[in-house]
Amino acid sequence: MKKDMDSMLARAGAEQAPQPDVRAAVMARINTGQQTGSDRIWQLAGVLSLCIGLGSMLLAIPLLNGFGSPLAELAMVALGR
Amino acid sequence: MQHSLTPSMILDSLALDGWLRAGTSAESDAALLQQQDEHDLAEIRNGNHDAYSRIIGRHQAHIARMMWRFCREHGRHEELVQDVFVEGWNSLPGYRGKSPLRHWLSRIATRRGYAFWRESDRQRMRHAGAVDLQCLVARDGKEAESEQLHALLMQLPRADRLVLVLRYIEGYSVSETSGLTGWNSAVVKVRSQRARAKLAKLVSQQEWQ
Repeated sequence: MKKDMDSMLARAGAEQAPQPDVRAAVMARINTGQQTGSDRIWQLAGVLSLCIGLGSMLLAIPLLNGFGSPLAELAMVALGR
Repeated sequence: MQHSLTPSMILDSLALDGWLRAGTSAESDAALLQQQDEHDLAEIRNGNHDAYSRIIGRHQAHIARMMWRFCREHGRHEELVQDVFVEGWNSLPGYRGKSPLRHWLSRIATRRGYAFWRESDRQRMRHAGAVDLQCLVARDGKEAESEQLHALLMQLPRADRLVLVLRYIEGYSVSETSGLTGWNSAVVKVRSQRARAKLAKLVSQQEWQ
């Protein structure tokens, strides 16, 4: 049994893997600045946290300045009322 | 005291000489590879980005072989190989040259392959019960056996899978596996033993069915 498993693992190690030529595709991706999945996730997280930060700042203005003040009115307009 | 040479002693010394020569040739190949990589890295630093294409050419066969252990679907496999080199390019400013470039790229490949397993495990859980058909496509001979082994490995936890692939399929030593995974040597040893036991159990279950 143990020998079977060992030989199975060894044969899998000796197996020929496909050999794609990725040079052109990788250089194209690099030159066009194509991002990887994780890059895109980080970018999205950055934009999302910026939006949340901006939104909370705008919400804080009426609370700190009072709802009737011109600045608060401006903030409410920016928030879409 | 006088020593006389027997034929077996001569044969032994010739065999040893051949073995030493083979070892030296492997070492000189690695040194040459490293020299070529350093030359191309210097060119990249000087703004010649095309030199990276030569680096890819030298290492793509090794990376493709590694990624085949993680994914056996041709289209996705090629994409993974590309991802490794794109990630390598993006991380190149951080490469300090402490280890050979091939080893550094292998570490990126291990990380990418493990992340791929995480993604596909999540997808499998989402479609609970669905069998990964790409892994079970019936093929003949050796390939069928490899597919079967891959399907068995996919039933193990990711960490066990990784240690079996690196130690027993790719043939890395404990310290090399430790370098590739970031686990310490004791963890690699313990995990290898446990993973082997789990795989043996799966193989025996397979035989009983």
